[in-house]
Amino acid sequence: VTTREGMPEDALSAYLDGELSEAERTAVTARLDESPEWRDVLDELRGVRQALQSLPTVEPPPGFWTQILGDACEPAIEDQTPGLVLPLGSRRLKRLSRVVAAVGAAAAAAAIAALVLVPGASKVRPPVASLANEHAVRSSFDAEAVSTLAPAAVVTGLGR
Amino acid sequence: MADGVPTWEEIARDHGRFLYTVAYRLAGNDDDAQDLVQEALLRVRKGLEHYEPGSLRGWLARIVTNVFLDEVRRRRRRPADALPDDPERVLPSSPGADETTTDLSEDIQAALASLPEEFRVPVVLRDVADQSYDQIAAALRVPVGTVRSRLHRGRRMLRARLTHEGEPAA
Repeated sequence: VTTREGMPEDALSAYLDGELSEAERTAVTARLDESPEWRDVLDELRGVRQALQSLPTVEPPPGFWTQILGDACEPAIEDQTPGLVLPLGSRRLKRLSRVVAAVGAAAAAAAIAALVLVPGASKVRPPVASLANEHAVRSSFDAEAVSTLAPAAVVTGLGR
Repeated sequence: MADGVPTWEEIARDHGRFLYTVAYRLAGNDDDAQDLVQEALLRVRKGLEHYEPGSLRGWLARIVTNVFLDEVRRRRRRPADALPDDPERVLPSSPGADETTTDLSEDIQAALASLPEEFRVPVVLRDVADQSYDQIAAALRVPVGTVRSRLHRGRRMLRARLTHEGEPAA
């Protein structure tokens, strides 16, 4: 939506969020002074933002963190979830623990092998592992993340 | 912690609730949020050696957002993996919520879940994860102006759905 003065209405959200330049902020303030409609929209946006920001922190089902981190970390993160019950998805949790352990073991084995089997052969060290890891983390950054999704159908959850 | 870089376990322990909350607000249900957090923590572990001390929560929000978007794409490519339309998955209880605010929270969560991802993601990153427009733009690889526009439209759509009014004009 663009006002007849040419100022886009989305400047109001940026105004609320403190994301405008000084010049833009001055222009929005002047527009608010003269436009009851803009003041109404600003009030609505403020209400929505406050509602979202007031949403509570969400706790996972009991046992989730224990399954991932083990008993040692339980008191710190699950201090509000006594009486642990194995949750749904426990197979996935165990898989995660195994993967993490396997990654560590593989890295250690590779380091030992490099030291024992290839002494002095590391003058040139292409950062293969580093690049692979970075690629894994950033693999979804290669394209503009949201616009590559399918057209904006109204969906719930994960696109059902 | 070495050189200001936390360990994987420290991140899970100290920022787990933040990570889970962002995942839950994006996905809209506990099962998917658990999957997102697990995958995000795997990526955190793989990416820690490249992490430069700075906005840790920004980094975490970026990772869990990309895990979420990857999963959305995967399910769209493979419709057979789509989850059943179980209302409990869309309107779950919030285990950590105060009883007096649960109903309102569920209404807001349901409205949030009904937004298309292109609007839901910037709203969650801004109003739940407290990310700046620059951080959101970097996470989504879009210009800041696009973030501003989508965030504004997302909030307007949310307001319309919460009040059962018509959607605002684009």
